[in-house]
Amino acid sequence: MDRKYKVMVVEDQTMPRQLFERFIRSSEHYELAVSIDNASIADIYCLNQKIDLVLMDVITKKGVSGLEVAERIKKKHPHIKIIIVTSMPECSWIERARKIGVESFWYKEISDESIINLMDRTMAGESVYPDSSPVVELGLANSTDFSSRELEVLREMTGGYTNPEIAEHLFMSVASVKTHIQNMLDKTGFRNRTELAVKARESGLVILEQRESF
Amino acid sequence: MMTFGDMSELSCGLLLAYFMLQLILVMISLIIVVSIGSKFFSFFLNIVLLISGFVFVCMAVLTIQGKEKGEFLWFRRIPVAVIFVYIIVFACICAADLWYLLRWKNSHITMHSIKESLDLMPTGLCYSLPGGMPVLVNQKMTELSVLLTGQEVLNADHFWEILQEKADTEIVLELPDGTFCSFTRKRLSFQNKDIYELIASNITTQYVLNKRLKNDNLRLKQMNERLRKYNQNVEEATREKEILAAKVRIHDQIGYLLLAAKRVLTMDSDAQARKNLLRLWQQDTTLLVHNPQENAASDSLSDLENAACSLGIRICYQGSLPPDGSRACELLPLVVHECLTNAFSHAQATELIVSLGETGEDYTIKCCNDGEIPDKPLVEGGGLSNLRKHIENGGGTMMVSCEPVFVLSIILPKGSDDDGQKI
Repeated sequence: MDRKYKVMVVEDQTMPRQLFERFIRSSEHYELAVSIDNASIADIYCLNQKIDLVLMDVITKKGVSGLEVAERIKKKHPHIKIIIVTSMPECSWIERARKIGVESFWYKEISDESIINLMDRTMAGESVYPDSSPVVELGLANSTDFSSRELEVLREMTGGYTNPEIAEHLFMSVASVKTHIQNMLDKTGFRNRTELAVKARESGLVILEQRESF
Repeated sequence: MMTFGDMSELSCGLLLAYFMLQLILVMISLIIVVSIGSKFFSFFLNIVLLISGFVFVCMAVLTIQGKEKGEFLWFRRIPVAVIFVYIIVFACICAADLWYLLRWKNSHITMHSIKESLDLMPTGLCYSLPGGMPVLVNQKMTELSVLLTGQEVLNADHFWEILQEKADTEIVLELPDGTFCSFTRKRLSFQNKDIYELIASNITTQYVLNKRLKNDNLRLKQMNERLRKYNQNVEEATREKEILAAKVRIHDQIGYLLLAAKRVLTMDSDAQARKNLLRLWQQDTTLLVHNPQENAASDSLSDLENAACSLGIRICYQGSLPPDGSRACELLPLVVHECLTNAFSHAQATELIVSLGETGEDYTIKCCNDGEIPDKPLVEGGGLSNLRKHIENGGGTMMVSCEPVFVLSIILPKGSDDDGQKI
């Protein structure tokens, strides 16, 4: 390799960002091109910084979705490799990252592999994804006990939406929404929908992203 | 042949008592005929029966009283068989008429049957003419009127005005017995005449359930609002969690460094090892002493300015920023972002000018740059069309012009925003 790979870090937390910066600076193969806390401007830096790799957090400053920005970067600069880094077990993100064309996905706290190893493998052309999102307990149930449709309803519930609003967002009937909620209450043993939504959001199983960027 | 004069006084008395009963039946038939109102033949028949019966009773009484004086001999000479035949024929006609009348009454709707059935209804009804004259008021409505106004419905218009004064938009009144009654009034047309129908319905169950539903919905709304706020705050909690996890890692690292330092201090080590150890200490202590709090002043616009600097472009703002929380304030970074990428990619500009203004009802944003003028007609790509979608969703309009220079003009409605802040 005749030059170091230029890496952009997009992470809104100072400490994890500094850790990433430290790993990159101490590596022989990488150099830090830019380190920012707001994903919304990441694509601007890609215009002239000759970025090779982006370490992208999912929820960044002001709630801007790293996945949304990753999609934008991939459309304009398909050669830039992206690793999504997150500490949240949100079940839909892995699938969404694959769909966007993100190369790799890394869980900050539970991945066995170090980030530098993952960066090496990614730059070597590998696409490294965890087999599944971390299993999270929710009341009496595990995250694997829920159907994908139930998780979609649960995700909307965490946004404080009413049943008719959820039905409208997910293109289903209000009766179906009620049925899904009741099924989830039966599985988890929670007393009401509020408890279910709060616990689900606390666990990070479902995270409702902003509907618009910025 | 035995005549009426040959009968004993007791027999005459019994005969007259029986005949009086028949007269009572005739009178009942007459009352029924009058109540029905349209049976003229029965009316006439019953009048004839009543008169002939009355004459018969009078003659019989006078004959009995004048027996000793020898008066009314012609009546005393009437054979008993004839009198019995008269009484039997009288009874048959009377019974047949009564049977016919009762049967007719039970199989036909009359004014009285309508009133009677309306009185049995649990709903209050009042039909009135223009001007308020009541035509038909059932028992329930009369009771309600007495409860609410202290008197029967004398004028339906006046009663309706009183009800309207007692209630707000929809007339639902709580009665003294704790029930809820809904009043509705509508105009009907009957035989080309206007008639007003006032209906009072007991909606206690629906009202209580509706009230409970309203309370539940209000509680749900408040709960959802709290959930929305919680959803925003939970991101902060997540950050704290991540910081804690990072601190744990650094703590482990420092443990390792302490062991390494002890080894370096207690054993002979070269300068390079000491230098490496010092570097590691510096790195970890830097992480710990650095204040993890975010810089509050660094907002989206200043982030954009920094990004623009990296492209060699200066963003120059003119005018007042839209107030925080306004739609224009939310969309401004998106506008600047799009113009910045276009200014770099298509115009090789060095300066982006963002003019902010406001009219009575709108905020205006105008962006232009000092770069090259487009040499061909502009086609809105993904970025601009996406921006247009956001602007139009916010109720605004977006215009792009390329002559003489590229200008992006946006107008966004103010809504209920506050005053802007000077840059």
